[in-house]
Amino acid sequence: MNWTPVLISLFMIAGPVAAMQIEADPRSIASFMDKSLTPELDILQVATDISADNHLVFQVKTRGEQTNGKNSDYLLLQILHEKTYLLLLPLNKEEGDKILIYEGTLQPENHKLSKITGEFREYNLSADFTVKRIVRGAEFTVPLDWINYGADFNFDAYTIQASMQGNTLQINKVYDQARKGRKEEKRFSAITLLNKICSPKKR
Amino acid sequence: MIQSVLQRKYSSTVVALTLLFTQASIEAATVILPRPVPLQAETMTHLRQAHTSEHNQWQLVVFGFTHCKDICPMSLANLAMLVKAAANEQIKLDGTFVTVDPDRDSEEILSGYTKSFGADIAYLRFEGEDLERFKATFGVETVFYTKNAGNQQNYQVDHSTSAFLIDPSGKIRVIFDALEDAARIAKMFREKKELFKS
Repeated sequence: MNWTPVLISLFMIAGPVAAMQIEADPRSIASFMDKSLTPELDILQVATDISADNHLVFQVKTRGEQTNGKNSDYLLLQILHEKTYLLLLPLNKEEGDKILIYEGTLQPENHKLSKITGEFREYNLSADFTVKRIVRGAEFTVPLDWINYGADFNFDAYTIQASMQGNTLQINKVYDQARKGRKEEKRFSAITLLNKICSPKKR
Repeated sequence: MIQSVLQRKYSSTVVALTLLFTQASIEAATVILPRPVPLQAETMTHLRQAHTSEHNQWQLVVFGFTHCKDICPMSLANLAMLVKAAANEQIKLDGTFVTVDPDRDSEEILSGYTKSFGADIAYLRFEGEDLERFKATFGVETVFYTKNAGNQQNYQVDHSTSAFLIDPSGKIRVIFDALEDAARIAKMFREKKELFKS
């Protein structure tokens, strides 16, 4: 049976509705697939959860993974929370699982989300930040007691090419961005994110 | 060109469906906040005024609406159960139901509704900006379906089912799912009494 007409009909009916619901959810980002990118550079999804040891977990999934290759390619999680924080993991598995963390001021242009502009310096108060590789992606964690619940909290993920000069991060190229192609996102407070994670059910 | 558009549409939908299914498997989480969230004095004043009890009580807060047929009644039943469970452990706890639908939930309706779950459950009803401010304090969002000028009675409201446990000093200490985690919180009352002494 040719399923194409059925699928097209479903896309036309369900696609926009599904997209609206996903856009409104502060817990996750559904990212458009980009076939022009190699699989390890193509971000498909970012999802959040709370771990048993009171950490906020960001699971970033890509279409594929890189076992070797360019050492300057990174998976980057951007957190906008009073400042801009960038958590990096080398895409190349041979580079190990060391997490690199940089901070920058929250500029008006990156306050809008989905921009990584400005100067980023190494963030030293990051002992409890971790990263681990998972199949086709990585899990970044930050401690819940690091979060100011009175402030906004938003995030995005990128695949980038970068270099480090001293304690400064230089982003040379952005391959993919989880929110690429999205309209301006609504901003959420940290307490809203936590509220949503704690009660995933809908009426 | 058309094939390219269809391919893109197909890819987007596959990703969207994948995410939807992934989210369906997400489980509720109970969070004991290592860094409790201080509430504004105004918020605590509202909560305390809803009850006639002393001011050194813990507060348990849930949001909902009385026309909700399944989720909110369960949430309220669990709230009542937890107030009793706390009393059994000599923990002073007030339970409060906050309506997100003041247009249909009058004071009279709310009074009857909360009493049907137990005499010790109070309610709060805000309107307009006051309601939005109170909801924002707890990160509560609502979506109204099919409510419009011609339909002010038969509509649904989508809202989170989180419950908030607030200590006597006015800090949110625990956030949990009022539907899924009530038994876990009752167990916490029995086994983590040190948390409720602070």
